[in-house]
Amino acid sequence: MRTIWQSLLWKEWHEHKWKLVSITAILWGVATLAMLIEDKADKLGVAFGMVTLCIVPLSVFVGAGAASNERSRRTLPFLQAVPVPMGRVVAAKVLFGVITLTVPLLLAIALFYLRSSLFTGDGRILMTAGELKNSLTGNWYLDAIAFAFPLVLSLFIWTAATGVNRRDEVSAGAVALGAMTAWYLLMLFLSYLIFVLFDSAYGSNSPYAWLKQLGMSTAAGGFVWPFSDRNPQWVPILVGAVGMHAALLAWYSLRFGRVSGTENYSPPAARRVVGQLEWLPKPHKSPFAAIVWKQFRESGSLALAGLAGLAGIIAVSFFSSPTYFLQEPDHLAELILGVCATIGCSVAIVVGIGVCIRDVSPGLNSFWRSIPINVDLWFWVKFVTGMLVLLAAMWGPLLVALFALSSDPNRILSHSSYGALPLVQIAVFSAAVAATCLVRQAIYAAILSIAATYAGIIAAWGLWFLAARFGLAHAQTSLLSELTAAQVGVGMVLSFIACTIAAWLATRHDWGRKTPD
Amino acid sequence: MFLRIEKGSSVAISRQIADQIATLCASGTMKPGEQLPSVRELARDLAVNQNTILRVYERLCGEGLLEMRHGQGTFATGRVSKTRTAAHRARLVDELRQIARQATGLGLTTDELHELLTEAVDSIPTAEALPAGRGQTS
Amino acid sequence: MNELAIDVQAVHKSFRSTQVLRGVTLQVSRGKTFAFLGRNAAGKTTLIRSLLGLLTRDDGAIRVLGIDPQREPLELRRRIGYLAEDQTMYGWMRVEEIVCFVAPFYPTWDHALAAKYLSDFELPLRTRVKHLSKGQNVRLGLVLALSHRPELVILDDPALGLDPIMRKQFNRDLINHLQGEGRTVFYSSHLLYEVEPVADEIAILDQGRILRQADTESLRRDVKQIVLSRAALNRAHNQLKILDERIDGDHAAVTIENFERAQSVLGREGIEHRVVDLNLDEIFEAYVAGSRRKSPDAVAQPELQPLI
Repeated sequence: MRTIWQSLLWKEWHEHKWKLVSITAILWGVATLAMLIEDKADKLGVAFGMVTLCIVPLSVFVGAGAASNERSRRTLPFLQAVPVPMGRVVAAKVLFGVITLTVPLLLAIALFYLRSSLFTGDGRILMTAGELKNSLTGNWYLDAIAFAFPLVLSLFIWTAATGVNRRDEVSAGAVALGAMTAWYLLMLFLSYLIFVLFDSAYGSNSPYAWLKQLGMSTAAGGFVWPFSDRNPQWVPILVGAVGMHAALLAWYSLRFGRVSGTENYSPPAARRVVGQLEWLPKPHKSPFAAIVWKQFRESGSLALAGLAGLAGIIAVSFFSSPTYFLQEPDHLAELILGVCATIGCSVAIVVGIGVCIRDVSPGLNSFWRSIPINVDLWFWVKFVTGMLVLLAAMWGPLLVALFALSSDPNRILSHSSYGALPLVQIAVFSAAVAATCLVRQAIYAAILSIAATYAGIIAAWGLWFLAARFGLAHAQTSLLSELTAAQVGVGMVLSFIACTIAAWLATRHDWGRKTPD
Repeated sequence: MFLRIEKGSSVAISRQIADQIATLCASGTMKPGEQLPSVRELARDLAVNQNTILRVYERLCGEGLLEMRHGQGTFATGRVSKTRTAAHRARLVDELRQIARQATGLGLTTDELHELLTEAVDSIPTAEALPAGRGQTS
Repeated sequence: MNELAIDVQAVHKSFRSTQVLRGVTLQVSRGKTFAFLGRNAAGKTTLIRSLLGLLTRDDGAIRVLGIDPQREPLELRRRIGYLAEDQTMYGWMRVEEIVCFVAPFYPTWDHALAAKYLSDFELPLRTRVKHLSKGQNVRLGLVLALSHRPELVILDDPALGLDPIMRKQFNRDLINHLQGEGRTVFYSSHLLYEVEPVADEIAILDQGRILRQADTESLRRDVKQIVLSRAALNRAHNQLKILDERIDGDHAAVTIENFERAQSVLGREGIEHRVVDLNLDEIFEAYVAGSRRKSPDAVAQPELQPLI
């Protein structure tokens, strides 16, 4: 006989093991790629930065799973009926959520160690005098862990707590992102207010700096900010971070599962209102019009949510030092593009998943397929509409802002690393669509789409490598030389084409993971 | 016309309907010349296949209980079906045999059984006092 | 014009190592209401999805309205109406929106007819699909399946999950709107007593095979239970088409097919016997039990063979 704990842990282990494996694979992939870019064996800052960039959205995905996967799979009523305190279920979920995120991080850091020991013998990574001064421990690896673990934990807890009991992962993730941004804004606004009211010197050496540090450390991953201050004060940062996250954890464990699941509730017959004239509107003119209408209704709201999140993040960055950005509008314009570069990919993933996650759920999949719909028309209209909605929402307002703010927008736009941005987003979007069509599950699709996009870059790098060998391209000095923007661009195009074709074929032939119906 | 369908019975639906209409005619609830509901109406009413109802009407017409007047509908004739009475009688004899077997099993003598049967017949009110209906109305 | 609405010849279908359909053959003539019975997981949904071309068959031939569903699935789906088992529709759409959304995909869509069905079925137009009751959900599915005046309507276990009152209402809708208009109806169910009043013809499917296809009345005439002595059964055993037999001491109760012939056999042999009429559930059970005894690979089903 298993004990309750064994049963719960066994269940969570089986639900998390593939996430663990795929996140490890992604982090290793990213780390390998990044180490190729970085040609100094004893310097791995960029590589670690890329790994961190990857683990941020992954933490949100895993957190969204912990918040809502029992509801999206409709297993919550069953779990509620099992005589086990919800607290233990929650504990098992938190434990495995944390393991799923921290173990791949540790493994990625282990990979760094392996590589630098190959080059230096003892695996030490040297730090400059300036870095040493800011370092917590004096050891690069311990510093990395001390930075990444709390960040991951904070994002996971924030997402799980604010998205708890939502009806699916997409909605949990959206709510959590909204909540995190709103909290950031609130904290920044409050600290700004304090300084405006009490202190004209809006800087980190003001006597009220501890208040700002306390506030910021309560936000998701917010304790990172005070460290950039010249004199971080440990007590308020620790109090703020620990207190807030403990409260969030308590909220999550108290709220989880305490929802009257409407899954098994069959509503009473809705009645026609007596005396109210009911007109049946005219049908859509063509299948094309009908599909476009449906797609706008389905992905429009997602893209709008993404846009709102983006605006929030830009506002956060702006409020972090408003005086500086007001003096230097060009830097603000660049900041906007930078935010768009990093967060835009997450929005692209969400929109890509949102385009087809409903239509591949078992019930709806057989419903729309039983209607005489031309599958090719269906797929391409959905795909193109989703992509246009994404690009319009991401780039329309941003370009307007750029041209309004910047004195020389063309210079910023022509900067090589921004040229590939829309390309990256549509590649990520198509990867998300393909992954969703194939695995038919939001969290795995999100993880897989990141992997697919990186696979495109690796493929491009491979192409260059081969071309150089046959003398077709300019030979690179070594494997470790930097990836060019052109290579990233080609990688994105490759990934886009492959994923689009995969998604189209999967839709056409109804390929994908099927739950028995 | 009230008919009751018993789902899951070992008696076929069509026979249930035919028997009940025949009983209605025999008991006088359905007067001669009275119109029956159309096939479509009765089918909708009972939630029974139209072809089944049509077959029942045709069979009862064949037995002379009903007649279909072209363009007007189906009407009761007031006649009694010979085959149906014979079948009914056969079934009654069968049931009596069963009762006799049960009575013997209970240890009743022939005389006691005769006596009980006479009592049962006496307890039936005269035909005029009968309410216009049968056991199987709903 | 082809007289058969559905013609299925020796269709096989496996999912990985599980054989779901093992040579299914059946014919449905036009204008009939055809019920298709089977226990859960007998292969009903698989066959229906193959009829629509939603699944590819491994072997055999299917013609629906003269069309091979795998070759021209769109042309076929335009001409038939389909209601899936426990059909899920876009919950965020309103009733009027889903009707207007589905309409342009059918060239023969009759919007006035859709409006008439919606009011006949008392469906509220402004309500979101996810807020409809189960019965209303089935009715909305029917509106979507019928408004293009299909020649053939395929319904996959429409009575599933409906309460007795809604089931009766559904049967009424079926008779009014489908039989009344002369459409061919092919529907699956596992509730035999619900099917009997409505269906012209039934087929019994078990473990991927059709055990019997017949009209309900002749099925009842043809399948009876006979109670006789064990010795007599041994004498007549080879001349009877036995579906199921139960033995208790000296007596035996056998459920047989081809009752007329059996009666003449028993009469010729001078065997004394009693005939018991069976209801549809018992007939179904006898067929299923009989098929399990014959197929050695089937799992023993002890609960199907209790003593009398």
